[in-house]
Amino acid sequence: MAAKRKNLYLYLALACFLGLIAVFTVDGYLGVYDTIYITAGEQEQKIEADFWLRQDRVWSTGVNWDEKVFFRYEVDNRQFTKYSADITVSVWRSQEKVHELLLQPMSIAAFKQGKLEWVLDTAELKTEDISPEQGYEFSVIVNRGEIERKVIVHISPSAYPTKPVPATRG
Amino acid sequence: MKLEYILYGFGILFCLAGVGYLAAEYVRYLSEAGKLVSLLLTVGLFAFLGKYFDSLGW
Repeated sequence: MAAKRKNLYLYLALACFLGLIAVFTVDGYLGVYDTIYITAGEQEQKIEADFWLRQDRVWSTGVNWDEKVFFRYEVDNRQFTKYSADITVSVWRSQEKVHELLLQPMSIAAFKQGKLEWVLDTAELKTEDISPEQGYEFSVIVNRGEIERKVIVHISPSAYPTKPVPATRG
Repeated sequence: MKLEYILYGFGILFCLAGVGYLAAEYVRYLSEAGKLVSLLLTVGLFAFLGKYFDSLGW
């Protein structure tokens, strides 16, 4: 009887361990996860999927006028089935869409990765009502199906405006 | 005999390090409910292991 109970404790401990592995596999590993890489200036920022898990999270980055921001969007399909979604990337300011950067369907096989790249050229965001001497904020919104990721880009005026170089006499 | 125990010790350490690494890597992807269930299962695991070793006379 005592030996039976002794083994029961061991089996229960093993069951807990297997339960932990099952929770980590099903809840932690399986699913669709996306990562955004942003390169502004010489710095690359990596926004991993867990950042977005808390609701209403917004990432922000900064750049000067006339500079470019490079985005790389990676979607990791950790499911047993193919994943398909339409990816749209747009730039917004004051609740108004000002620029469409990307509109592309994405299809990823099971346990594979999909990748998309785009560039935000701040020079293209200049309009008549925008003064390059002032700083502005734009939202880059990435939609993957129903899921939305928001990155705020602070555009600062250049600290040292470029001066025209005088022509040299040959 | 002593060398065997040292090797067992290394084996256990590597196992714990591996499981610890995987746990640290994937715990951030767990939902709140998943974290709670994992915590309960961890408590249960150590409790039952404790009872098992207790019944062995350790």
